[in-house]
Amino acid sequence: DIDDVGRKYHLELVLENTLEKDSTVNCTAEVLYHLSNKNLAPDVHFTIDGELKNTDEADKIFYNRVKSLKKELVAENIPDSHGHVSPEMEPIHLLAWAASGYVIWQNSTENTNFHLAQIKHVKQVKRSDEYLEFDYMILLHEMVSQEIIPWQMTVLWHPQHGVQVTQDSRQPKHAQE
Amino acid sequence: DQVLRITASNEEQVTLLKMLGEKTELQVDFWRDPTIPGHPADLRVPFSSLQAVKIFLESNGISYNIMIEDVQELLDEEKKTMMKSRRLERSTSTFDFASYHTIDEIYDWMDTLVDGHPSLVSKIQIGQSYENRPLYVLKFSTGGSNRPAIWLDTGIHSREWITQATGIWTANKIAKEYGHDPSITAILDSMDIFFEIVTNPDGFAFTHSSNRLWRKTRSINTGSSCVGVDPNRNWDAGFGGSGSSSNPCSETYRGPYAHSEREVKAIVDFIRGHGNVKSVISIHSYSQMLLYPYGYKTAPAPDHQELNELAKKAVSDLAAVYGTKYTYGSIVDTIYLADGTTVDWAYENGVKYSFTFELRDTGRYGFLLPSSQIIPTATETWPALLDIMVHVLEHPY
Repeated sequence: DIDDVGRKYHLELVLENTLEKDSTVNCTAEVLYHLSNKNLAPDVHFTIDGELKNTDEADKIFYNRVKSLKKELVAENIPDSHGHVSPEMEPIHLLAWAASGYVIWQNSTENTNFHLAQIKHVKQVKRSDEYLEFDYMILLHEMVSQEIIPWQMTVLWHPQHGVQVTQDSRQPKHAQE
Repeated sequence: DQVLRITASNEEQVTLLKMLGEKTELQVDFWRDPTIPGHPADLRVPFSSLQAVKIFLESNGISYNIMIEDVQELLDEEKKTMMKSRRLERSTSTFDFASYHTIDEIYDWMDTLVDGHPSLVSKIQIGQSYENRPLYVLKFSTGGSNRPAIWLDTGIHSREWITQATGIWTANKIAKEYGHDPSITAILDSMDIFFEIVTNPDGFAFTHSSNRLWRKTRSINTGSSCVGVDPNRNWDAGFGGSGSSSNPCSETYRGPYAHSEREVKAIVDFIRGHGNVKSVISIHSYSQMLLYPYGYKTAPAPDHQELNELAKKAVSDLAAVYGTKYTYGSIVDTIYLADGTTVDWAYENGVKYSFTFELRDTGRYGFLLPSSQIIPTATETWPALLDIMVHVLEHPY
């Protein structure tokens, strides 16, 4: 606890590559939750002890594949009800996961625990520059309240420039329930 | 038609018999041909030729007896058995445990499980859901009268599909292993197991038809457009605290009053009525945790130490299968404050060994766990369940 500032956590964690379970890397981080303005995202500082796997090859393949599509990519329900993700959609799923990490960070407090539950809908947005743009509608599961929160996010990606969430907004829960 | 067993006593009679077979108008056929004297021959005789054949044999002094009185009867019997075993085969050994099923498929499978193990498994109905679906419980019992019992439930939160799927596999495993696995055999020789697999059928049907991520029951809330009550906040244990919501639109809405939900009331009535339930194990997902009371308060349960030791052992045996790591502890310490839960109610109603499982995973797929993980999940959970059940058996109270 830091008087008048907030609460700081020191973390030692191990990052595991979900695509290659044996590949792990140590990480230390400091997370500060602000006392005054609860709407401020927590401050995060981290150091990674080692190197993350190089994905240039796979990135290039995915980038070229999407760039060469005749029609904009559109998909829904990833994973489907049975937990399946088709191989073609796996990069779209992973991209959403990375992007939702940003959204989750921006909206976390000491009393929330978010996970990406599902991509409800994703639509590629045509761009004239080299970036790929996707408009996602995702469902976040918040563990403490058990709520399913629809969230819209616009994601930019480029093999050399990484992931960016340029716009995101929480959506109202459908009154259909 | 009849089948006659005929024994020729000399060569002449053997020849006569062979000639009988040649008489096409009689339409007889040998199931076992006449060979040498003293060796029986079996002859099928159509009803219409019976009298003629018998007169022939008797007038020639050839001894015979009726082996099969009525061939058709045997054929009918066989057909019935074949159809029954084909149905069974199509079911208990060809049921796909590695995929997710609809409520109808699960209810049909329950019947085949009972058919396949009629002296061990029976199906009872403990009530009806809000939308009038039957609430079925599988009873595993080797006899006795109101033996001490273990209660298991899966699917109380309908979106937790891995739980109903694990329930099916586990129920099948219990039936299969009785008489083979020493632990489950010892358990069932003295205790009964009651297993409710689709504890929230309305919610489950809704996850198939409309919203895969539906959690609650489907009861209509007066004065609100929002449907459903969280069945794991509706029990009368710490009911109405800050570990549940008073808002019908909330996923943790506690309901208008404790046990307002038919799905919950049915279990309450059953366990109270039974009077001899020694353990309640309620299975949820996800988070990979093994939890015990309390959820509604921070004060440790009186049996905290024993429950903690047992949880520790169970989690260790679970991890030994595929390395899946679970955390364990009281609900309030390990996951969050939650009131009106199943296990808190059970514990406060005399059921010492009350546990909740939170199965795979820890968030990567969450509720949408790939079906390829059903069997691994059920397989690793089995030793943990056995640890608890064996402990219950060995610590009567």
